[in-house]
Amino acid sequence: MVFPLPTILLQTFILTISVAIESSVFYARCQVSRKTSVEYALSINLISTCVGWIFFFYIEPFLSPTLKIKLITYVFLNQLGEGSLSLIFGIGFVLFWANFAIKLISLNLFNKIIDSAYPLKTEAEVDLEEDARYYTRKIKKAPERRQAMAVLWGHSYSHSVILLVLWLKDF
Amino acid sequence: MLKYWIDRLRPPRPFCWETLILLSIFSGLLSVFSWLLVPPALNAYHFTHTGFLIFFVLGTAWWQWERPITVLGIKIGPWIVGLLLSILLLDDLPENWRHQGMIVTWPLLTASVRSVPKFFRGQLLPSWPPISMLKELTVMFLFHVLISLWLQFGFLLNQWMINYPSLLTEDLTRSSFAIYRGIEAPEIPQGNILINEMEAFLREQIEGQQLPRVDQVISGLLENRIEMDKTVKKRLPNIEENQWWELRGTVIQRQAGYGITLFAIWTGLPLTGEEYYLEKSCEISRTFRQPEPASSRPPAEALDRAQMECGPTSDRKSGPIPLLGQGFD
Repeated sequence: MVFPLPTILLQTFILTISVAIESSVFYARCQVSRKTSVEYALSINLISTCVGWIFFFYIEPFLSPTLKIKLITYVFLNQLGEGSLSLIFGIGFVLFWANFAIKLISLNLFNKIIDSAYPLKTEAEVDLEEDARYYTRKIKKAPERRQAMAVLWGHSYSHSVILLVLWLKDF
Repeated sequence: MLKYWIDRLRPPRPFCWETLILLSIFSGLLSVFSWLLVPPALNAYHFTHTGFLIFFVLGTAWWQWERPITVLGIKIGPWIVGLLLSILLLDDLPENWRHQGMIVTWPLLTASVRSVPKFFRGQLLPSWPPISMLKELTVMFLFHVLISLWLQFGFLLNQWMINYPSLLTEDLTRSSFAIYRGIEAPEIPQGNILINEMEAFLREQIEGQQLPRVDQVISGLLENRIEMDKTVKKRLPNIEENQWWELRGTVIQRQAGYGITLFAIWTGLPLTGEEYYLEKSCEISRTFRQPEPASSRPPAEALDRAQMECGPTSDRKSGPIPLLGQGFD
């Protein structure tokens, strides 16, 4: 039998790190309590992890034999074939932005369905919105944009650390 | 002992979990009885069997609701109920992936069992829980989904292992994604299995045949009327690794027959450090039968028969493949 125990440990570790980083970015950039920031960071990270796994299981049967044997070699023997590095960089790039998109979408959904109060909508901005002169698209979108920037920064920090962890684990 | 259990299960009120457990036991006894009838009453058996499972699940859920068992501060009741539910729901799946289905849906059902009471909260009709509880429920549910995806990954790893047996000859402790328990390298590596099957295939075609038939087989091989690679792989269990093995051979015409060299060439590169091949040489010769003195056989029957002798399979060799003579694959 093969057990994916190291995968579970590694993923738990990565999740913990990224939740810690992203929640502190949320806390610093948006007016939310510590508890809320952790809750938000935890849920969006869990969602992006689950969506990633589901996508992986969906795409695995469609991989070309060459890609599949490379994947299996990496998973079981922890070595990349020759010329795989550019592939890894491409996958990493796509993965970064796809994860970011998933996090943003899930955060918006989370806001709409579960908690209708935006995490960073402050009183001043609400007043501005009600003012007819400033009731433009730009200002109306401002809290969403600031939230998206917070997610992007947190995401970049946590992914940099994940990259470091993945690089260090082979030593 | 029996008295303890009877006391334990005696319902204190008519409406409690012990009643459901007793109902399930009664239903189970009925199902055993209907199974033992000659001939078995199958309709009654299925009915009572399902009843047994449903009552048992409900009774267990209620029991865990009243007296939760905790391990390290986590209520394990929902896990028990989730397991029973997945056994109940996925009992009719085909045999080959029923267990996988049960185990993978187990955490999902557990999460459902955990979240359902939150939507009722002592009322008869479901209602939307407050926001703080919803957030907790979301995180809890997502975590269970993640556990089930991990389990699915475990099954996928095992499936890969079955499909690529050559992995077992490599150093698997390097992996940072999986650990291994109770796996040993196969006695015969996949390449040797393939090359032995090639030999067996040729033997069936050639040995004991008359010489013109042998010539026919050899020319069939050379002109690709017999596709060695496909035919041999079709005779073996179909695993994905086979597409990385190239099976071919060479023929040299000799005075008294043919010299055939069989090759199994491994091309799945990143999996092993380098490409290698295995080879096996065979000799096809005619056997000279002593004409039996007291027989009156027609001369055609006394024709020479072919005989095939093969050497042992070589070790792994790397480098250019020595293709002498006419090749086939």
